[in-house]
Amino acid sequence: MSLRSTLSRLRYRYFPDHILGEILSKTWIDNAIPVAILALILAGLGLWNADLVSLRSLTGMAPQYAETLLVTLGMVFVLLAGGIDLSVGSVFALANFITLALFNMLGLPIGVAIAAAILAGGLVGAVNGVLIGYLKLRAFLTTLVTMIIVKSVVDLLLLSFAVKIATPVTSSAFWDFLSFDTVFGVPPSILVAIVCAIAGHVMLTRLRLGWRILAVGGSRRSAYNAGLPVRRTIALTYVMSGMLAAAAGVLYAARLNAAGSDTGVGLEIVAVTAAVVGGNSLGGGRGSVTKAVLGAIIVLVVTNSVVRLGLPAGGNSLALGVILLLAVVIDVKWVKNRGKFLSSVYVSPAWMQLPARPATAEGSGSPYALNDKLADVELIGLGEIDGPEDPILDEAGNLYAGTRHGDIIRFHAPDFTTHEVFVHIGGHPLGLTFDRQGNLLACVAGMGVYRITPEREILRLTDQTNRSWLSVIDDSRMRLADDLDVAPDGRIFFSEATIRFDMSDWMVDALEARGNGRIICHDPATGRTRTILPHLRFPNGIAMCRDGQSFLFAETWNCSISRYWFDGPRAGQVEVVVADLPGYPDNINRASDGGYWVALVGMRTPAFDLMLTDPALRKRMVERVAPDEWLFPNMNYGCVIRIDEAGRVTDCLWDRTGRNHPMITSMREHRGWLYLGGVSNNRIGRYRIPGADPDWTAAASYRGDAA
Amino acid sequence: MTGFLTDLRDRFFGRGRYSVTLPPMDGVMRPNTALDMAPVLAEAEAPDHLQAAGGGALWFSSGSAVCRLEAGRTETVMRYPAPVTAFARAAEGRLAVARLDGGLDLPMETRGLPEGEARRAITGLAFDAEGGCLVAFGSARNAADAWQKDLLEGGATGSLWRIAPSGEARQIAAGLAWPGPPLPLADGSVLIAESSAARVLQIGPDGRREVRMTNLPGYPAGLARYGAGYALCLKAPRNQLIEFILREPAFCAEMIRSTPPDCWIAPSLHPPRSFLEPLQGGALKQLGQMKPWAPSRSSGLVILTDNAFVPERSFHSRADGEAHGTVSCAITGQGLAVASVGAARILLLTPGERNAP
Repeated sequence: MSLRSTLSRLRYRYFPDHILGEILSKTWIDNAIPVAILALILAGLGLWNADLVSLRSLTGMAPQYAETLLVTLGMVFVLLAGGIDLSVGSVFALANFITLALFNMLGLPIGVAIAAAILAGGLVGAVNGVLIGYLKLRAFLTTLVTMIIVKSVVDLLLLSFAVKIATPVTSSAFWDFLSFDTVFGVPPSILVAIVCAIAGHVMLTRLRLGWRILAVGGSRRSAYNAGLPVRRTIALTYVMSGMLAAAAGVLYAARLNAAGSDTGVGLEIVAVTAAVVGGNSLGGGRGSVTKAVLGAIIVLVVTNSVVRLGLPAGGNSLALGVILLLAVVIDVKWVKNRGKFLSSVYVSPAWMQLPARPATAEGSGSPYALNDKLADVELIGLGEIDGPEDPILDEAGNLYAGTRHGDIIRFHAPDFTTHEVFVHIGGHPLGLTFDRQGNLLACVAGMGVYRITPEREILRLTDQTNRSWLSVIDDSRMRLADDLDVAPDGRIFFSEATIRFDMSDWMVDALEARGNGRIICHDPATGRTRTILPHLRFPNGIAMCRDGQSFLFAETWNCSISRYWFDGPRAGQVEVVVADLPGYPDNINRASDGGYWVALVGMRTPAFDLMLTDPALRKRMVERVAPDEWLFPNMNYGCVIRIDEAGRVTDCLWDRTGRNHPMITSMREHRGWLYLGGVSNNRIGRYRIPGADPDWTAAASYRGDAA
Repeated sequence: MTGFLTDLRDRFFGRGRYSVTLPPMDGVMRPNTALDMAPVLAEAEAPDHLQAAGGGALWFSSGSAVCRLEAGRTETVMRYPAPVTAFARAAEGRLAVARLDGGLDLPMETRGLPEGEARRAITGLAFDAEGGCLVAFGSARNAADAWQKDLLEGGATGSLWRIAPSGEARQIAAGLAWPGPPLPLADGSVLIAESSAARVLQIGPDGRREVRMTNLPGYPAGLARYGAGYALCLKAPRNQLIEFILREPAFCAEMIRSTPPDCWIAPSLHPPRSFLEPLQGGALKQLGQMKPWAPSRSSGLVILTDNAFVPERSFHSRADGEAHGTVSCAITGQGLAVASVGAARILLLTPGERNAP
């Protein structure tokens, strides 16, 4: 191995290229941009003037932050539903005035004053909501008008009462607490804001109303077609926005105890900027409370810094404007290009070198030498079945196979000319097996492992395993359960081919050639599911060995078959049985001669083998070339081999032209016949095995195992 | 400097000369199954260099032989110890034959034509109106059977020579990317397919080149006059994956070094024969069928153009067809005879009224 390929191998083994795509496919990735912006701003300001980002400086902003956050939260709800609320500043001023007027001037109890203020905010919001939600007026114009009207009302009132409201005629312990005290060093206003933020987060992520808001903002028409109350949902967001702005006004009143004509002016710009900078989409449907929290911090840090740096008047608005513009550009570009970017970076090939390819030429004397033994298979269900990945027979001789439509089809013995839908599961059933009680167990793509009783009851056995700590992808979910077998004690061992791709893209995993798959054990006695062998290269077929302590498993992209001991003196050990197959092994099943049948789903090609040693080239191919044009292993030809327990090849069956069985994913021996299946084929083949025991069945073989 | 930066940018984004886009098969080029449906004139091992002769006879090379097809019967005229790489027949019956072992039979003595190893690379021969003979050398580095290797190496070392009736040889053009059989025109110029560059050139007697067709969807080979226009055979399709590989010279070199030629990611003259050949994702058989639009390394395509080289008709054999490797064509009394190496057949196209001779 040359130095260059060694370096390449090490680089691709230890540098986790695949993580970028996995991170980008997370929903929380939308927060990454605001967090990065915040970090940059803090770092930049810190370098400029360390005092700006000192703890004291930041905590000094806390009360102001509470107000900004509340207004921003309301704005985010409105934005999420696809609207905008410009009246928040005026509502803020109105609530401030009402609180002070009722409490300071009229001497009403503080509780009444606060309730009245928030109610007034809610009312303004309701007006907005009715006009925009029910009468379908434009959000921008409507809230602009309410902003002006409410502002005028406040200004008129201030003309008459400005002085009176600033001098309290009464006092309240609660009001003083809200104004001056702290709880464990935290101003009460911040606590209020935190409670509101948590409530808002729960609503958006857990409650019906929040989901509806997101649905309406994401696609109003779809939400309507789905039967959601679109108009009411929209109206409610304005009510929430009005009430939150009013609550902020109340906190402002408590903090400053004064009202002026500039109260709340420009607050709508602050709130919109905070919302968008945080990553909430102006287009609606995408956003969260976390983003509002982040955005509010960014905006406040920047505006306060601008003030403290003593920039001339107007600098504040200028800074906000610039930030808003930048944020909108990022928002638009990000939303538009994220999917494109993700699809171009997700596939991340790794370095791999397969051992030399054994000879397959006809007459080469190789155990894999080409022949045409499968030329004259009998066909079952031609054109009536789509994707029989792993056909299996029960003791009565009925033939079962999964289909891409999510069914398990039963062909009736003895001639298989009639069939019925045995059960409908919903996902594509792949590996099938019978347990010792005669139940059918199925690995279902995208769903997990299922048990089907002879009475056709369907029971989900498992669909999740333990989460590994270092996996970015949530690998507790089962994405592609592939094949399974049952140990004598009832434990089910099954393979999950890959955790990075879905069933429709399973072959893209070949381009990565990384250990994306694993073998999992489910114990029905305890209900526990644990991953026992992680990081395998597309683990596929599993077949119990006759010692009752181990099983054989195939690693498709590794072109190898290994044996794993789960019990006995060698428990936990893995031994490679065949290391250099000429093709890609799929399912493994028992043969009547004491050996095992192995399906080769496709064949290695020199070009693909060569490309495996050049991950960067494969990466470029994925980026530049359309997916249908990517180089894959040659899956248009397959064969079936039989090996003994030591891995020696004892038979090899080819379909030279690939006419009937271009891609063989499985085979089952039953009473002297071999039944062949293919995951993208439309037939099951049946081949008479010369000299095979005509009475042998897999069920009887399993009964004979050591317990 | 700007060029260097532009090149870096293009390489990063896969733009410009790093882009792997191909011309869409639309309009006149819309696919059909005309070649697969065409009647078979003759079966032959590897038909190429079709030459129409008087009386409806058709001469062609096939493997190591030169054959004549007349009244439905194929007759082997000559058999050589090595495969014939180029063959031409003048109207009055003189023959010119080039072979892979370097042998070259001409009706005249020649002086000045490259000799020795270079003669293994002759890809085209033709007699012009004055009785001179045009000789196309596919490459200065590779023999005539190694066009895939030359393509993968980015070769543009071919040349075109003319041997005057006196026997004096003169180079007309050099630096050609695997030229095919030349087609002398009435004005003394020569039309020639530059296969690896996917274009057709017209080369004047003074050596001046004009690009007549460019960015073809396949690798052009044989040309023929057809009515007022031309018939052009594309021996294999261009393919996004191959275009991509061609821009990866290190990989190409390693592939040439370490894998057998049949297994290269390279265009091919015949449909897949072995599971060792590379396969692209879209060519996977689904429900036992190969889709006709699957990406393929081989196909058959004959284009008829008008006098200004604007395509007017096209005849296809797609991924699921057999009439691949359409290397040569000639007009016979019945229509257009097309040699398909992939199907080992000579096919007959009868395009009908429009643009008939």
